[in-house]
Amino acid sequence: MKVHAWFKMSRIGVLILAVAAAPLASWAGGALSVRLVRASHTAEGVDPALRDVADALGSSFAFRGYALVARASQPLPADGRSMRLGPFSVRCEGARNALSIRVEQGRRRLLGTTARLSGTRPLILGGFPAGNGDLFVLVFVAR
Amino acid sequence: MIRNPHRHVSGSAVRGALATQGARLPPPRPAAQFWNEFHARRALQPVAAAEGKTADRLVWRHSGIVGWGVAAAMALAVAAGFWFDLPWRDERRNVIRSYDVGVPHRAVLILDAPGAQASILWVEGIESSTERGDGA
Repeated sequence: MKVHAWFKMSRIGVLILAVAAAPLASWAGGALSVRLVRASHTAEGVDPALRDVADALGSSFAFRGYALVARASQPLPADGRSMRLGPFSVRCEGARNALSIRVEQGRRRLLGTTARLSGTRPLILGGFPAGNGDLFVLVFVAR
Repeated sequence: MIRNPHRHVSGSAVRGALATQGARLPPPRPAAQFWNEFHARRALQPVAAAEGKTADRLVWRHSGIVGWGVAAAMALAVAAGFWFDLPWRDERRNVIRSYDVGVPHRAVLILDAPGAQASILWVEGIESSTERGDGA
């Protein structure tokens, strides 16, 4: 009876750990990928390096082409170091459930936001002029 | 050297030992009668708790309370998940909590719908740095 009782209780414990461990592990760590994309009304096609976010870009915007300009990544939680992406400097800090993002261009602070990133969907910050009618967008993916 | 005290003794050895003491074996009874009497006697005799097993029996006896305790703990964990925004709460969706734009602009658009494939924070009408003359 002793073995049976402890076996029953240990099964409950294992179940709780299994339910809680996987999402907590993914939430605590992982990596943040940041890509600078030039969205164009003239150039066509999607850069092969953007294949994983091509559907998200295509379903959200009406541009004809998306070209990868620069990319960077860093482990999560982010430590706040600056990442250089084309003309922009991107600084991320914190865990994915409260990630602080700052986008600067030269001495200008363009945009700041605090967001929670899921493990599947990208966060897109955009609207930065790229010249010739094109626009820059920053694509953030937490994995 | 320690000898095993639980040696196997055959039935004929028992009968032989009883015969040397002048004792007789009880007459054999039908099995059904034996077990009926056994169960009747067992029902009358209180069974004493075995020594050293009190704690285990206590846990077993109160396993219902333990189960309810575990269920309550899990309910609290789920409530805490909602309260502290832990991962199992709507994990597939991004949430833009706050934003600030540091340059002149016309509008800010946020697309943060649950069904969308991406969350978008779009700043419309940003002046380019060349227009402002403070190039990057």
